[in-house]
Amino acid sequence: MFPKIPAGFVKAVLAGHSALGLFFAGLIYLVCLSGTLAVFHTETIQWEQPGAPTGRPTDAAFGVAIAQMTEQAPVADGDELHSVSVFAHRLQPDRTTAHYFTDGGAFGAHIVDTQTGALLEEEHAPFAEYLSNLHIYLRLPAPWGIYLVGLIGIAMLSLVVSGILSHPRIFRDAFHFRRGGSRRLQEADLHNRLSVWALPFHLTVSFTGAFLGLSFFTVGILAFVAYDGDQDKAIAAVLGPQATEDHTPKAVPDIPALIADARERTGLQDVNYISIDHVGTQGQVLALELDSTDDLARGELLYYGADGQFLEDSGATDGSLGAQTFAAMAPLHFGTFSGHFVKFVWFAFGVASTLVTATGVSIWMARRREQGRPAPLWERVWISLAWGGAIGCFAPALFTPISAAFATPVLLLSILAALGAAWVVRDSARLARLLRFALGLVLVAMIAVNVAINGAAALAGVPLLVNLGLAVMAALALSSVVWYAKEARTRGAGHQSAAPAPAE
Amino acid sequence: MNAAMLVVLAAILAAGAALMLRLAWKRRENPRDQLALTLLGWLTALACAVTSSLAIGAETGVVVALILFGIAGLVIAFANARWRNVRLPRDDIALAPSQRGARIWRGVFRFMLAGPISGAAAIGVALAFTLKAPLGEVDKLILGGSLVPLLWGAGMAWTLADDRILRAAAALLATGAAGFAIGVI
Repeated sequence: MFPKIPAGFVKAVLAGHSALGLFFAGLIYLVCLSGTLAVFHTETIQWEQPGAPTGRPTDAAFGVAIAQMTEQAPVADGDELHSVSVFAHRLQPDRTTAHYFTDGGAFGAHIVDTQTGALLEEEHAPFAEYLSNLHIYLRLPAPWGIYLVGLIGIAMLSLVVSGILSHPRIFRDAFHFRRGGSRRLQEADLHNRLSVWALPFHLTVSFTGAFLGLSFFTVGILAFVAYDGDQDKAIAAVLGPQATEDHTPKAVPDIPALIADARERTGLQDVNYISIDHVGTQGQVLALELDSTDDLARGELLYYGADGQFLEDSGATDGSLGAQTFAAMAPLHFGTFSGHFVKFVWFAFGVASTLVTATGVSIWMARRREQGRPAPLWERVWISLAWGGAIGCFAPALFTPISAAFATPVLLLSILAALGAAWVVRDSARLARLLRFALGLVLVAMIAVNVAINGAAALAGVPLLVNLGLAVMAALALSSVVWYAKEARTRGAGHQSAAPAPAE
Repeated sequence: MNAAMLVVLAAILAAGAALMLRLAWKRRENPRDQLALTLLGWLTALACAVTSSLAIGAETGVVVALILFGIAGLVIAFANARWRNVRLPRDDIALAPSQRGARIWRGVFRFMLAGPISGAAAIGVALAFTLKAPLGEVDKLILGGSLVPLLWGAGMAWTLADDRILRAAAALLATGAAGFAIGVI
C-alpha cells in the first residue's frame, strides 16, 4: 500500500534532518517549551494578579476607560502618546484592561472596572510577560529576536518535511509504540508517534510561527516592491487605514455609538478590543474588533475615522482569502479559537513538540552509543540544556515579584548552573535526576510564593487551577526522580557493566 | 441535534476512525481486510470532519476534527504500548543517516544554501507571485508572504538532504533568479 522509497534517499534526508535538528535543537526546545506555557498567558496574568473585576464590560465602560487612559498615560517630555486601547473578552478573558503605547516605546496597562470603566490598579504580570517575550523574542532585542524565532519556525517546518520523508514507515507504523530494551528504539517510537499524530499541529504552529515571526520582513519587502517603495500605502494595504500626522486636537468619537454601529454592520456582539492611534487628534483612526466564534479569525475588525465615520472592515471573517488567512494566523498559532478545549490541546501538543525535540537529540546520541562512538559530554550538555531550560522557564517567577529585571539573569543562571552540574556529575542518568529534582522544587516554590503573596485569592478560581497545574507538574518531576532512581538500581543490580542511559 | 451533541458525535467518530485504522494495521497478513478497514477508517475520519463542521462551522470544524483524530490516534497507540525487551530490527542499517565526511567548506556552503540562498529564492518566487498573480491586492501580499516560509522550509529540507550540493545550489539560484526576473518584467 505504501510506495517503496529508496534507502539512499532516506539516508540522505535523514542526514539533513539530523544536521538541522541538532543545529537548532536548543533554541527549538526553548521556543517550544515557552510557547507551550504561553498558551495559558491570560491565565498566568490572573495567577500573578488575582482579584480583578470580572464580567463583560458595558459599552460605556469602554469609552470611559479610553478617556481616562488618554488623560492619565504618563508621557515623558519629547515623547508622544501613540495609541490607547481597551482589551476585553477573548483578548483578556475574565478581566478588562486599558493600555497605552508611546512613540518612544513606553507602554503600560491598568485594570478596568467593567461597570464604570474607571481605571483601577496597574496591571502587573512580569512573569507572564517574561514567558511570552521568551517565546516571541527569546529575550533578544526587537526586531532581531522575533526574526530569529521566525527563522526557527522555518527550521521546524523544514524538520517536519524532512522528518516525514526520512521515516518511510512513519505512517505505516503509526500505532507502533514499544517500551523496554533498546533506548534508541524507545525514543524513536515516542519521537515518531508524537510527530505523526500531532502532524497537523506541528505543521500549523511552525508555519504560522514562521509567518508571524518574519511577516514584518517578508510581507514588508513584498509590499514595498509591489507599491514602488510607498511604505504607507503598503502598510495600509495589509494592516488597514493608518492614523495620519495631523495633530490638531479633536475629541474622541462616541465609543458606545460606534460599538452599536459595528454590531449592526456585522451581527456580532462581544468587543475584543478597541484601539485608537494618535488618540485625541484630527489624524486619529479607531479600530474596533467584534468577536466571532464560527471563524478561525478572532473576529471582524472595523475602522472608523476621526469624526466617527465608518472607513472599512478588515474582511477577517467574510473577506477575501488573503484577509481571512492573515486574520487566522495568530489564533491558529496561539490556540485561541473554539474555547478552552483547544487551549488544553495546544498545551498538550506543545508538550509533544518539546518532547519531539528532546527525543530527537537523544536518538542521535543513542545511535552514536550503539555505533561505539558515545559522546558522554554532549549527552550531559543536552540533559543540562533541556532541564536547565525548563528550570529557567519557571524559576523567574520566584524573583519577578521583586523586580522584572531578574527574569533574564535567572534564565541564564539556571542554564549555566545546569551546565555546571554536568561538569560535576559525570553520570548522565544521575544528572537528569538531579535536575528533575531541582525543577520539582522550583515548581513547589512557585506555588508557595504565589500563595504567600496573594493569600486566599491564590486558592480560588483561575489562580487555583494554575497552582494545581503547577502541583501536578511538580509531582510528575519529583515522582519521576524516584521512579528513575529505582530503575537505575534495578539496572545496576541486573548488569553492573551496563552503560548509563543517554537521557531520561 | 444541537452543537454540543454533534461535537461529542465527532469525537466518537474520531475514536472510531483511529480504532479502524489500528485494526487495519493489525491485519497486515490479510491485505483485503486491511484495505477495507483502512478505507472505512478514512471515511469515518471524513464523517468526523463533516460532523464537526456542522457543529461549529467549516473553518474551525475541520481543525477540531484533525485535533480529535490526533488525540484518538495517540491514545490508542499509547494504550497498546508493547512492554518487552525491544531488539534492533535486522534492516535497521537503512535508518542510519548517510555519512558525508567533515569538510568545513561543504558545511559552510550547505549552511549558506539552506539559510540565506533558500530564503532569497523563496522571496524571489513570492515576489513573482505577488506582482503577477491575478488576485486582489491583499490576497497577493498575504498569500505571497505565506509562500516564503513554505518555500524556504522546503528549500532548506532539500538542500540539507541532497548529497549533490552543487545541483541544489544551481536549482536554488535558478529558481530565485527566475522569480525575481518574472516579478521585475
